[in-house]
Amino acid sequence: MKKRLQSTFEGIVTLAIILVLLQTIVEDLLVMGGAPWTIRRFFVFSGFLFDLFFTVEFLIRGWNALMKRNFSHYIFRENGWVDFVASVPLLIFTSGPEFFALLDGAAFAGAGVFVGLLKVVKAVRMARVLRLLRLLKIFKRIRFADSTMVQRHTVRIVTTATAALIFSATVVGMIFALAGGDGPEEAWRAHQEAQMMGMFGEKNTRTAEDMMDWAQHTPGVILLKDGEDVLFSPYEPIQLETMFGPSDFATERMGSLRIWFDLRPAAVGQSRLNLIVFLSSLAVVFALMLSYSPHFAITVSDPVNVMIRGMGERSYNLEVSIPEALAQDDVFRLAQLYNDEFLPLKGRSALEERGGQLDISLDDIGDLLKP
Amino acid sequence: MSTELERASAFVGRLWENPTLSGLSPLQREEQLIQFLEINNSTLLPTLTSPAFFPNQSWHKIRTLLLQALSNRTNTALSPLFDAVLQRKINFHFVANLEPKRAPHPDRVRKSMAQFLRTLASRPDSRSELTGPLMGVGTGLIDKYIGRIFERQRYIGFELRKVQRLKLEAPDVADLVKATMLIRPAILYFSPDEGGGGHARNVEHVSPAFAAKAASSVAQALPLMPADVVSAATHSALSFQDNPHLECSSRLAAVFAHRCRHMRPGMRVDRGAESSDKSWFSVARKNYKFYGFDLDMLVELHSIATENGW
Repeated sequence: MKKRLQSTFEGIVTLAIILVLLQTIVEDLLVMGGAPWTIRRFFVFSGFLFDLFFTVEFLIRGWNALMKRNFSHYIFRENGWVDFVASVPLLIFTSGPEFFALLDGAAFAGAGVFVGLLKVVKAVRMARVLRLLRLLKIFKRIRFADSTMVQRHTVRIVTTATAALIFSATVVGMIFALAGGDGPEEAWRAHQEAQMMGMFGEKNTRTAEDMMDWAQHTPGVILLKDGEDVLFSPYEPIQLETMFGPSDFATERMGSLRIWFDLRPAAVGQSRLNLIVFLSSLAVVFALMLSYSPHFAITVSDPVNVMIRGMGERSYNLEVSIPEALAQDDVFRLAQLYNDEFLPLKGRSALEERGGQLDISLDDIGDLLKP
Repeated sequence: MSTELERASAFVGRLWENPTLSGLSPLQREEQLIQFLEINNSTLLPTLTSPAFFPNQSWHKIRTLLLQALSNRTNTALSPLFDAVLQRKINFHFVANLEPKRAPHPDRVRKSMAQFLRTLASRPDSRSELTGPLMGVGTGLIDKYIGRIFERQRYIGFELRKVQRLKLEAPDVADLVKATMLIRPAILYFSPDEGGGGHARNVEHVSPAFAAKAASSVAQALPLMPADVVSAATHSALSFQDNPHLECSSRLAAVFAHRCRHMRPGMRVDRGAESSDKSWFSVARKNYKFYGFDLDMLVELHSIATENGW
């Protein structure tokens, strides 16, 4: 019963991993394609639910390991750190705040200094790349090799390479976003801000027409209001409601004037980067699975398995196939000894034991001895 | 049939059908099960002496019952196997080609051979030694190697045609080697019982004098078989190291009989392992002195196995 429950739980987790990976890709594609907020909103909710689910999964596994007094084994040997990094920080720093801000109807990053705000938004979005670590969780679950040793070694190397790629992308991206120099988007925003200061610094001398003309010729302005009066917007009110979510714009107030700027281009760049990291991670996983896994099998586990069978089964007398180019490898030098020394000795011994190559054992007859 | 023998038959029948023995010939199964019973007697005894099996019986009595049941079971499978092998896997036309003057009809030779095989199967030693020859003939292994040997025209081909002076086509030579292999266990049938207590012995090296004596006995039992074939069969128990002028067909029969003794047709070759034949010939090359094989012959057979992925 417990085993069945565990198997069902594992099945649900695997399905959730597949779904969350799809969700991440689709969310980024929608952002890049400029999909309306009404659609993208769904992904904010689902992203939060997935992060919550994986956080609970981590807590259950962690608790379970803690109770069995092998928490460190779970964290370091069973890739529990992947479970942690791909769930808890995301829930706390990315999807959680986004979700609750959405419930509040406020912009997720809140108001703040314009360019500084952008940096924080970018840094937090960068953390979303960590979601891709879940790719490793599903990879860990796939039985792609007969040999446990091949499976374990390949998982180790794939985890190391992919995690290094994702972490470096996340950490370096966050450092650049927070402490690095302004990127093109920030420079563009700063330029706009300067223009805005030049335009509205002496607003009393400007007419409503001047302001509307400025807004019309400034890319990224989605709404200009004076008090409650809309002076300019390239969109209809219904379009503003459906196309822009709370984190898609930033506002700037200058006296009675309020200007809404489009933040979506910054998110597009981030989504593009997410996709690049995701596809690169996939490429790393598949490249290692297709090249390293068979290479390890051919050069290590296959010859070892042949020798194990030869030494363990009396009737198994196949030699290890030794590739000429790898004959000096330690494993194949051992295999050479097995071929040249062990098997001939085994053959002679079998003859001396009068054909003692027994295939059947007591274990094989099972319940035969039961009346 | 007594109740006890029925119980023994039922027990043996279930052992016989064990999946680990699938793919083995009847004689291989029998050999496996005899060894199994001998090795595990102390473990089996408490269960076998329980009321459900053979209560109040000694191991000696139980063993006799089980071996009898096993022998009956093997005989049931063996008789049609002899007929099938002799009907479909070997052609006795080579006898007429070897001795055109006498030229006995192949069917007569087949019948006498069938009778001879049944005789050999009646004694544990020679019965056990039939395992390799029956497997070799039944699986077509000899045909495929002789075919390649004749295509290559190297050491073995030269030995067969120029040294042994066989004026036969490849298929006839294959049949001759098969017949040699099938007669080979006679060396044990005609050897004095050394008190093995029913244990089968292997063909090991015998003296030329004993081989000649056995050959005369075989010739009486198989009057239609050419004397050269009979003597080659008994010579196959001689060591090539001590008798460098052995017929090539004797040497081939010895090698193939050993090769097929524990062969499992259709055995899956693990990734990273060499093929079955290649492995066997490679190991045999290293043990050639121990087995009394012809090293050059093994080198060529290994080469054939390598070239063909056998």
